[in-house]
Amino acid sequence: MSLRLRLVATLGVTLILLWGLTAAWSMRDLSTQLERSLDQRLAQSARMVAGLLDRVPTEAWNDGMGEAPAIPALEGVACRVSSLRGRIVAGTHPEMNDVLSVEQEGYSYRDHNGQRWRVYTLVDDDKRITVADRLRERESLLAQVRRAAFYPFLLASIGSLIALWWGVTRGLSPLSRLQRRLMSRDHDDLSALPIRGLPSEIRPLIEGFNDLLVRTRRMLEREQRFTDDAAHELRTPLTAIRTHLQVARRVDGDPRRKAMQQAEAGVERLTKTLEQLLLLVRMESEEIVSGNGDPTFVGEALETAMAETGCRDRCHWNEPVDRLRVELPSALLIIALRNLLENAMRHGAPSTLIKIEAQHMNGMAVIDIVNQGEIIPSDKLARLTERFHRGTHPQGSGLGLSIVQTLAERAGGSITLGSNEYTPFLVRLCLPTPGSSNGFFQASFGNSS
Amino acid sequence: MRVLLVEDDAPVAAGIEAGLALSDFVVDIVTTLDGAHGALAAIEYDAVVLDRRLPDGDGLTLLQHWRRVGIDIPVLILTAKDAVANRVEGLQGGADDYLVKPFDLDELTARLHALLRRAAGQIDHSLRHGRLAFDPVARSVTLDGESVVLLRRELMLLEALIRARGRILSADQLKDRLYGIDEEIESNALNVHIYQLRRKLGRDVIETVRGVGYRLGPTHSDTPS
Repeated sequence: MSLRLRLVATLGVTLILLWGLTAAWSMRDLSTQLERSLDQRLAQSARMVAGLLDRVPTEAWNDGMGEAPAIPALEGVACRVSSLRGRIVAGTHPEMNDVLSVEQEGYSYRDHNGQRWRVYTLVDDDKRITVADRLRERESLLAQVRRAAFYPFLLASIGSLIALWWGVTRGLSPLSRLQRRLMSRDHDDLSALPIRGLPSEIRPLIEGFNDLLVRTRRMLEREQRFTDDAAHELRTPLTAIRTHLQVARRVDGDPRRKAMQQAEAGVERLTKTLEQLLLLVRMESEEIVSGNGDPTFVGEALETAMAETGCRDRCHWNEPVDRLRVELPSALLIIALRNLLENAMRHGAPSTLIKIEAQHMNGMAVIDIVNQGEIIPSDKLARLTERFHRGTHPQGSGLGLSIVQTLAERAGGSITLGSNEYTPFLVRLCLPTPGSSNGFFQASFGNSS
Repeated sequence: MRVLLVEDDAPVAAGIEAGLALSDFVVDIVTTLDGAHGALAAIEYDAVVLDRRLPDGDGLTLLQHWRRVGIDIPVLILTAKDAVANRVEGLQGGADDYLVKPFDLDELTARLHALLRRAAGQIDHSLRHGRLAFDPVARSVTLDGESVVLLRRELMLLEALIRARGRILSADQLKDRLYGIDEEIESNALNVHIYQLRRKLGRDVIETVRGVGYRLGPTHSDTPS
């Protein structure tokens, strides 16, 4: 059921009921009042006749024997004057004696020839005056009055129903406009809906909707960028492999050997990119449960990572590294450290020192990896954790820092990058230590750093 | 034929260069949009193979710039984006052809030949000059229907002259067509190739325009000696 129909139906039924009740009540009141005032007039006319007769000498009508004088009859009203003994002195309708022969003083109803009369009898000293109104006249008068009173009611209720329909339609017109706009939109259209002219009740709704649209658009753009980047990263080495293999098939000797070498290098690069990509997807989708299983010693993981990357000679680490433990499975910590070390080796000038410093701070293990090399401007620094962003080192897959970031965030930690003249490139990896409540410490550390 | 390859990925560029060299293309590699712009301004290329994703921007913007300023050199775009919308965007941006990575070397070569043929207004793929017919794809030359064996550089020289369609080419222009930027050229190398061509195809096949350069001569007078 539409909002408009619901509003109109509810308000309309209520209005009609109210108007109907008021009308019924007024009509009832009107009938009573009218009857009362007509009765009063009947009594007044009886009294008026009595008053007139008082001025006539008693003899004048007591002496008159024989036929009572007949007064020309008026339609719908009758009158009779009689003595207390029952002698009719004067009257309008001689044939209506049955109606007019009421002895008791006061009001009564009488029937004559199938018509009903309202009769009033007044006993005044020695005479009885009876007056009667035909009810038909009274009813037609009442009907006229009722009609006159009913039409305004009818007009008012129809008018208010029309006003109600118009008001509701007008009040809901922003919603109708919104509905038309939404229906005419292309289903791929992610542009924001205009807020202007919207009533304050639905404005928050549309603002929320627009926010959602913006987020969806950003998400789609990010997905699109990721797909484009992944396609580029996978297709480029594939192109190199294919071209070099095709060249190798057509040449001999040294050029052939060179082409095969290049193809192999391409395979290696593709393998590395694929591994990193799968790792990233795993980091994003797998549950990294901390506080479950044994905590890992940073020192042990670092040893393994240094051995795997072959950079032990270039590394220098401080003593707390060996004692510190983090709430992360050792395989994942090794992946994180290996990626950071590879990064440091690529960025750092050959055979320069890579410094690893660890400390315990607010329930978090803070591991700093610093390498020598060129200073990175802050705008470029911010882009380094973007997927497939390689900086200036074409050898990498451009995924290392993204992997570490995803891993750290999923484990309730964080990574921060920094670059200045004293520490040309610093990656600060924060991971929760055993027994810490991750969220809280992450937040407090994030604020203090 | 001299081709400018704009590709920032060194292994891919090396593969394409080696592959195209097998079909006697002389390939110069640049890795940036700036480099491509400079190279095209300095040397007369027959075609450009343009990667879209380059360190200093999208190859398409450079192509659009070229088309705006009236550079109508045949351009083949290489890209990893295979969506139809991307292809349409590339072709509407002024590309003559479009290849999605990874591609087949033969296809790249065939498409380049097709581009060159279209640019020269040819209908079939062989180039003719009098009694001479040159097939740029098969790299073969016939004189009066008889096959003539030419060395690689001789073929390249003949191709350059045939494609010039009677236009005079200077010694430098000819050297550009035969050698890449990095190749060492001996001072009389060009003369040696011209001498060999004249010996195999007839004295008048190459006409020397004194002080200006060379062009193809009438090929009906002499028979090869």
